[in-house]
Amino acid sequence: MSDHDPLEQLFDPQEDPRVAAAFRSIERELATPPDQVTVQRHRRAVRAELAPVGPRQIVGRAVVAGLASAAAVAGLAVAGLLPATAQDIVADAAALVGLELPRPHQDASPGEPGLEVPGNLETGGDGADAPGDADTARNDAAPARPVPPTSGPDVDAPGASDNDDERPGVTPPAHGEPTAGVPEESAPSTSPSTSPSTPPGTPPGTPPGQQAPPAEPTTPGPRGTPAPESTAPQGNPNGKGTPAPQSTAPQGNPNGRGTPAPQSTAPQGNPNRGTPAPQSTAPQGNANGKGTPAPQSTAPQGNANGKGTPAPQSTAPQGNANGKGTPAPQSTAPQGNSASQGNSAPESTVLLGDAG
Amino acid sequence: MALPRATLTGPQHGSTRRTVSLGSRFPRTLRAARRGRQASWDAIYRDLAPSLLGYARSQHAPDPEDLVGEVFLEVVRSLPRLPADDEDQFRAWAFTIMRRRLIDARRAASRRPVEPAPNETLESAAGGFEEDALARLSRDEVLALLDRLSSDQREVLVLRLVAGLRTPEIAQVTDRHPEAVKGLAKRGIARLRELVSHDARTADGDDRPPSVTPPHEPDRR
Repeated sequence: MSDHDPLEQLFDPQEDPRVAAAFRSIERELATPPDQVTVQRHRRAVRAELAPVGPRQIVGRAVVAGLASAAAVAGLAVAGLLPATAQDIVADAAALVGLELPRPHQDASPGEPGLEVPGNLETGGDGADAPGDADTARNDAAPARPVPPTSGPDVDAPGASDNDDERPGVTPPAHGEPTAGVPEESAPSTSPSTSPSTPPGTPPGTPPGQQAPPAEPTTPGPRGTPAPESTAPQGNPNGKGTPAPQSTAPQGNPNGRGTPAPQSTAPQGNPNRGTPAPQSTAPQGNANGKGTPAPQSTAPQGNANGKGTPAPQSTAPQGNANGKGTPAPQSTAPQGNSASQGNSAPESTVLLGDAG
Repeated sequence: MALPRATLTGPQHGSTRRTVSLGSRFPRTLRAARRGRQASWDAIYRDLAPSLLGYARSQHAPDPEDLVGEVFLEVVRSLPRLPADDEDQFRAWAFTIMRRRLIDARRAASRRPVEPAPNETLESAAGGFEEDALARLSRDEVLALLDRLSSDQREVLVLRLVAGLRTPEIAQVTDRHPEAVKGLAKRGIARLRELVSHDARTADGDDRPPSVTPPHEPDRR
């Protein structure tokens, strides 16, 4: 196609006069403005389009926004996601019309600050009470979770070495050495460094070897949850960061799945699944587990949560409260570190309410 | 209020002509219109509506006046999104909207055919003004002349003659290549010359029909 643009030469003076007249006729007759009625109609439409938002529109938008906000608040209130104060207010308002909405205190979960702790945990009576640790752990508020099983056999099984010094990564703390992550005041006076001959869990004044009175849990704990004795200060209630390196659950297997120990003489027998160990010399029994308590164990506290058989040869004065018979190799805390890993209190709480 | 007549004479853009134009006042008028100034919109309407209406009439829009109103409202709504202040671009953009609306209107009319009103009703509604009848007759003659062109040729010529668009803008509006627009214009002008010459010869007593392509046959792009 050439560069010649015929549209640019429509009005060429050299154009045929008749053709040029035809072009002008097209131009004149078609490019006529609309009639007055149409013009006024179009102008009104444009004016309405350009008009600012009127008061009625503002009211309408406000109503729509209010309804949307109310729906959003109602949805959050039904889901219980409003802040506590607002949730209470909305719940009160809903109660007036017969609707029940969740209230904040109904949603309190274990480990939340201010949660009441049962008395038997607070006053264990077996010398294993560690209020400082327990309170710290509660405030740390880690949710209760089952202790993960270990792949290998329970290290607390009979024949297992109780010497945690031999285990890699475990450094037994020196006696009297402050524990990392544990406050000084949380270290109980019944720590092995101060009274190695007295089993933990034994009330003060109890001669060595004498069994502590059983601390019966109000409700049996579930499998994998620590026994109420797991709040003992010298126990390792967490499994991880277990401070008691020598312990191989001398007080029975509270949560383990192993064979119950019929010979256990632990006064705090296995209330859940395991048979109490009548011959156990451990001051605390197999609280929750099915495992066999350590009949020959001389360790004052047992494996509170482990699945395995407690170590009968254990001479460790402190038990592994949550481990599966395995002391926590990562822990360097010499005494029951219930808060350093932030795990002990929730498990203890769950224990109380769990029937196993 | 009588709207001013479009400027029908006077060269603009070199050899091209434009029926109406705000000229150098257009950028300022458009900026004021963006701010919502009603007077500016009136000026733009006076500038734009006649050519929009002529284009709609030439394309046999079902309701040209309503179509112009819809297009102008669309222009009002969409003007903030138009980045340029150039008048040629603005007109091309407006005619693009018009063309799309026209296609939609044709589709809607094909789905809902309208029964034409009786002639008696139209005559009573028109009021029987003589000048309107004369104007309608003259417009009908022009439209009859344009109807003898193909629809594509007619569209290109009307966009040039009525809307005042040039080849690149017509190509933009009609979504064609500029060379295709030139080809359509060339064939349409040739056809129009032939028709006008034939009509002149007929008036002089020569009845030879023009050897042209049948009307309403769309050109191949």
